[in-house]
Amino acid sequence: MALFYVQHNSPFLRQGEIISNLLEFKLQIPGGKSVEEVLGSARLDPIVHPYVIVISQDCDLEWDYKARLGQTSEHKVLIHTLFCGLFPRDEILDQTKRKSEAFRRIKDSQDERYHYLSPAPINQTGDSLPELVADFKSTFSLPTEFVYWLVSTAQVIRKGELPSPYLEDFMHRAYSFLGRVATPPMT
Amino acid sequence: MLGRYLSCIMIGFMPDEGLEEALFSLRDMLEFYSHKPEPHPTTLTPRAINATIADRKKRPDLVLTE
Repeated sequence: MALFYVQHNSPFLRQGEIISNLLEFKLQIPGGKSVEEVLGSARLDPIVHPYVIVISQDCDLEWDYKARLGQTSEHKVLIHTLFCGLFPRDEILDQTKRKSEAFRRIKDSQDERYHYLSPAPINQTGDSLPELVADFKSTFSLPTEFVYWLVSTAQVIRKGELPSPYLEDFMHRAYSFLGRVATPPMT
Repeated sequence: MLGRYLSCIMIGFMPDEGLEEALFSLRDMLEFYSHKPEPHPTTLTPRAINATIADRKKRPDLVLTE
């Protein structure tokens, strides 16, 4: 079955939704400065994420949205939303010796850290998404309130959603990677 | 006070086969209601700070290494 993305049609963010142009503000932390000094002259780096995929759970996102509208209790608000960075092919610097081998392993899901998404159209839009690689070490969260502000002010583009069963495959692999627990060294 | 008295009577009249279950339930309730809340840790009051926004930059590329 060839991959195609589903056009988003939900007011709330969806698990597996791909967003373009997401902005993160990162506090600069200069070495040797105290907390008071940093806060007294804080500098924020706006970091643009060209493509990300939402990895927070769908039901949590729906309850969060309803809670923000006052349709359910406030404790269902999701303070932060989780994202995983997606990298187009031309933003991947391959420093391995056998370059084709490294990428083939990613493409064949043989490297647990990465997930490959082939280029695919977004259903009923005429738009499409390029070849993308998810790096499960590039996961981060942003305050949900801030993300909805970016959405409502059209500073991000909600591109499309990863449909089932690609969504399940992606999430199982992502959380399998994030759920690793180090084993103690053999003595 | 009446509730405490009635509870003792109910335990007194409890058939033997229900006694163990009643005791376990009472033990759990005793443990739950005996809990004394810890004093809340002192929290830092959120405060607004002045911040300068630096130049917008793209997140680093993905680097594949051995």
